[in-house]
Amino acid sequence: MFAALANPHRFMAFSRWAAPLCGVIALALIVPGLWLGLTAPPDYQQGTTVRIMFIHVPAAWTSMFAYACLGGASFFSLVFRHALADAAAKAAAPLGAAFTLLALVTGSLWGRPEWGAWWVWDARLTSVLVLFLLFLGYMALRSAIDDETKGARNAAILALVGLINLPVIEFSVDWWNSLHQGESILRPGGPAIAPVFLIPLLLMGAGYLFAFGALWQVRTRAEVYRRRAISLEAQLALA
Amino acid sequence: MHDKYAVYVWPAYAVTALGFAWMVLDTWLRSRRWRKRAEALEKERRP
Repeated sequence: MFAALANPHRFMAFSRWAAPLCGVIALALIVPGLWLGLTAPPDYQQGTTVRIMFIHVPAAWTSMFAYACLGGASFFSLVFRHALADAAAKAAAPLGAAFTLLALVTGSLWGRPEWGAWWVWDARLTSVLVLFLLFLGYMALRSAIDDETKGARNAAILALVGLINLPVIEFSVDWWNSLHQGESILRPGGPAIAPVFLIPLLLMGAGYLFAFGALWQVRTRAEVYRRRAISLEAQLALA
Repeated sequence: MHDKYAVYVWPAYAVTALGFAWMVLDTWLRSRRWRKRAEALEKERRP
């Protein structure tokens, strides 16, 4: 499938219907997820602040997924010199940064009533902040170098190095003492969350991932069009 | 929904709504702009 989609024409034909389909699926998941989340009963310990979980956790999951996509696309771009992979990497970065920022801000709004602080230099929070800085660094590096190919290559190397941060984020709550709660879903003995909270959380999580999928495809299409426009401008200038 | 935690819950949802609005609008406008530009240049090349 990856080989087939590496061809820009095939990708454009595929994403023409796949992007809107992902958008519709995202809406179909997020709308009931929001409804169930906002009507869920208050948690016996956290009260109504538990409702922040339905937007905070999916944003955090999606930010990590976006970075994995950025890293994967950067690998294909760097090793196989796929132009489309580079376009996909470039398209993933601002979306990943936005989801990471949402995770940080909503986490801060959740942390204040629960921990009594907007921010703590906790391993989980700090590693997610590093993720945000990696997204910003990737975009800054690309735009700082005039030669687009060189900028893309340097940014791809940064993206690959930054992949090490993903397991750090995931296991930070196990490796270090952390204020942040540990793994609550994929744990031995089953999820530690009651179904009344788990179902909207999973709906929202899947919805966020499909929303990212839809937006990522559209942004990649925009980048393909941009490169086509630049190529046509060059051809017309020579004619 | 209007308890003492509303001051944290609603801003979190508002920020999320703003974030999604930015992502959708920026993505849609960017895509439309470059598609139109590429199509216009294509027409210019093949009148």
